[in-house]
Amino acid sequence: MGRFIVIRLLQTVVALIGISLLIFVLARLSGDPTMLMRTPTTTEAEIVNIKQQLGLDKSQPEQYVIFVKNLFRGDLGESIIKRRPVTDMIGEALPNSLRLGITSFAVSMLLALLLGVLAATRRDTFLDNGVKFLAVLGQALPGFWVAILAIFVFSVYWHLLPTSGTGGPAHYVLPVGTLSFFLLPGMMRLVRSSMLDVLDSEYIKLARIKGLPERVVIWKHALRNALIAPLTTAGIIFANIITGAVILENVFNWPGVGRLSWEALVARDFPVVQGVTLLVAVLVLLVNLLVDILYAYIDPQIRYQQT
Amino acid sequence: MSKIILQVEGLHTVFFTRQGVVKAVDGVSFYVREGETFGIVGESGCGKTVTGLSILRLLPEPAGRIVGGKIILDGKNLLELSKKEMREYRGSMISMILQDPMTSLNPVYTIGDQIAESVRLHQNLKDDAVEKEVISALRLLKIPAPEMRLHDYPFQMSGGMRQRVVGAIAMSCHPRLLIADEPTTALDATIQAQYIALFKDVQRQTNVAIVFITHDFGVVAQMCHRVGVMYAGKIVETATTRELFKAPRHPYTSALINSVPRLDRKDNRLYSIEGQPPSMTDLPRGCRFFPRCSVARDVCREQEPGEVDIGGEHSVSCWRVS
Repeated sequence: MGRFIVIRLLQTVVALIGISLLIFVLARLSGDPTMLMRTPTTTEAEIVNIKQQLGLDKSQPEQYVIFVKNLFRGDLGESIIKRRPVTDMIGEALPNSLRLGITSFAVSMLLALLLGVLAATRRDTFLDNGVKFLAVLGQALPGFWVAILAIFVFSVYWHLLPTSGTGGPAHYVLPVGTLSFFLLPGMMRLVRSSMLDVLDSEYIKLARIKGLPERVVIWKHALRNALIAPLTTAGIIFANIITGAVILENVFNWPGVGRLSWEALVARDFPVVQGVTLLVAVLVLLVNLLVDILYAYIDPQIRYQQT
Repeated sequence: MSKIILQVEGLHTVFFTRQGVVKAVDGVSFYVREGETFGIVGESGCGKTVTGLSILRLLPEPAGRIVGGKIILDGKNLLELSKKEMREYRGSMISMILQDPMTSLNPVYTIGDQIAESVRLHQNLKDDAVEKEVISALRLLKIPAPEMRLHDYPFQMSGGMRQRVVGAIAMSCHPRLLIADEPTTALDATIQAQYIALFKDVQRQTNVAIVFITHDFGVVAQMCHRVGVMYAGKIVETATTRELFKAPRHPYTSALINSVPRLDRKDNRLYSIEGQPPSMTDLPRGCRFFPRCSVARDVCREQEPGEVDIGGEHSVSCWRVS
């Protein structure tokens, strides 16, 4: 198991190098930033001077080395618009996004497990059909529309919850609710079908033959096996949070990374876009690493193949 | 004669399907003594597995239901037990071995865990005593180096070894009755012979009664003391194994025995029974075997034959005998 984690960590490092290179190259492809700084009176000497200041006079490989060196120091450059270090801006936005993202992820995954298992064990009952209906709604309705509708119903019409912004726990209800509503269905359907497959297997029959109570049969013997397939998807769903957050953070005026990246994109604030892209890539990598470790933890066969 | 441990009387099990009510087990009666192996033989779909599952009350729900009869285990009618009481009987008083060892163990738990789970559930023991019981169960099934294999996962074992582990799970709580549903069908021929020898040994040591479900007369000859031949939901003939092979009285039994390939005969053609077993939703009015029977008479078409005891623990349901 230890060796497996070390190997996966090394793979993550390789992927990180690749990502940093890609982001570096993509940013350079967008053109020469000094072109945007020119005014009719700018002299060539001034341009050379600016290039020197920004380190753009050096060769591209050299620039990459500096970029990586700065990364290690936690320096992502400075926002062109706000004239503030990108790390500070992300530092302010990230905790807000993490609170929203992790709460929604936890809520939706727990609900997906619970509803998926219950639907599978009570197949074709009212509950199962209800779950299927909910899944169709969640997968078909666009996230932003559900968010606006939720604000209209719960905040504007009934005055139950705040419309937007951060503050007390009440501010979490609508954003977490809509984000979860949007993350839940895929996972729930996957848990349900995976659980149905497993419940049909011989080892579940054997567990019942042993005289185990149904509770143990389902939550110990079946669930652990049924989790293997959905777990891979959980990593992908986490990436959905990020894209989902860009939309929902804007609808709910939530000061997180999603809103930051949208604002930066609209204003062509390249250093911020770069910084956020790198951050998102690192987060997805870390989650995938975690998923792989969990995968090996759940399924001994993977654990033994890898070492 | 040893004591009768299991007595099944007039068992009726039905399945409610879209095509109608299927009488999968239609009035089956038999008994098994302590230390005895009773074989249930028959073609696929004749109801032998459903009989086994009925004894454990583990029919697929909600389609399957036991609608009549008695299943008396050591003086207690299992059909009168509450769900909870029945669960306590499972694994401790009655156990079952399933057909395919490759799929009947949970892939994510060690075999030690899977055996210990039964032991812990049914016996009030401390952890080190549990481990001792687990090791003794593995030893009973002659699994080499049990202390080490304890920590293995099913995928690290061969099919034959896995089936022994399934046997160890079944025997771990010293059951009085073991139902073995084609436990050797998925094994190689050589491993099959080993497994049968192993189970005869286990039975000698524990005096467990075994209901052995199979379609293989070769296995019956090696393993069983008495046999019931099942056809379309009914037991058509019951006899000691020796008697059944020597003097089968039901035409279906004779036909089945004749269809076992033999090396000591010159003719190269394999014998097979004409026709198909009847559809379980549309059974013939008279004897169920009548459409395929080579010696059928008019009465066979009209009326179902009753069971006739012809002495020496031999009974037959056939008009030719009564």
